Amino acid sequence: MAGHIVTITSGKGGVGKTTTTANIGTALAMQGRNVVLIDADIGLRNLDIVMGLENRIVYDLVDVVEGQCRVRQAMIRDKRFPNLSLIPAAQTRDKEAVSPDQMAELTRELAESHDFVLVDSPAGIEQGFRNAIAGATAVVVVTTPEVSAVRDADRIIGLVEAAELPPPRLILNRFRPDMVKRGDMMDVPDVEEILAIDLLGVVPEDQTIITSTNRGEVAVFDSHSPAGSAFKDIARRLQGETIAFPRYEAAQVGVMSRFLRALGFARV
Amino acid sequence: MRFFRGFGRQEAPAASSAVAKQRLKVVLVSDQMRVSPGLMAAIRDDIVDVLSRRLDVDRDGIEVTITPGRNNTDELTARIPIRRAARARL
Repeated sequence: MAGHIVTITSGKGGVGKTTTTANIGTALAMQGRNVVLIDADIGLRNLDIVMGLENRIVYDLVDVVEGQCRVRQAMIRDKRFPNLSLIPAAQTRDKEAVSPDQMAELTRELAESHDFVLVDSPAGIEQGFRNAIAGATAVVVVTTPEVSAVRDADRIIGLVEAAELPPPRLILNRFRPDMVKRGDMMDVPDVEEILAIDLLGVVPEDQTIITSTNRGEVAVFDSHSPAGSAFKDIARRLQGETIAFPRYEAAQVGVMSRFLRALGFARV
Repeated sequence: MRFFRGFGRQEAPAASSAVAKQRLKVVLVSDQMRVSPGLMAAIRDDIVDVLSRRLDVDRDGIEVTITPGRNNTDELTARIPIRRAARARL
């Protein structure tokens, strides 16, 4: 049976598509699945650097579709997991170098030999996005609890439905319970109500994302990372498991921590 | 700081998250309906023209919005300030 082709998209840039793709892909591999990631953001490739594989690129997605190399030659095997690989985007070409038909054909071919093909979509609603969803059997929309990101997510959901794909599922990224508690950020049910699609996961804001990405690692390696833990849950839900949604509460800050923070101990 | 906010203000400003949600609801309806700002302006002008025959309407204070209503419908809401009840013209 062919594997799942899951496209991760958002409309708006900068909401965490690439980080989400890298973390879910790695989590799926940790959970024993055979996974290939495709960076569909031709011209602005980043999944390679987030995965720490940027020095190992020889061939890219455009080389594959143009027949310059075999698919296997463009697949970079992950440092830790032999069952995880990446097909990087071309950096010096543009989105028109690949067509939706070519993407659909490639992803279907890869799905024959992999449990999951994850496609990291570029921002926007133009050809890069159309390429990214061309072969999809499932679509995941990433948003943050901000008006601009939610508005663009709604637009993308409309386009996915117009393309007659199954209804996308939602990841709410960079969620901050402390701000929600103060009434300064929309809560999970607010965003669910507005977008009216099923929730796949809520990922709390987490500094580990930045520090691990600095090193070319992913947060799912860090067992203490709240975001990493959320991505692992999302990977399980993608495999059809029912995992309860943890309720994120604002951290209780004690008197002593407040005092130390005031003195400049940021991580207390 | 919250303590001082109480003075001199009749009502506390709404939480920004509630404002965000409300604004999104409004903008998504117009995004989805593809009601252009031009069409909304035309509707507003028509409403004003009709009401102006009977009432002294404050043109600049008018707000017309389309928001989700009950039973899967959208609702047009118009807020129309009237300067004073003009005499009915016969």
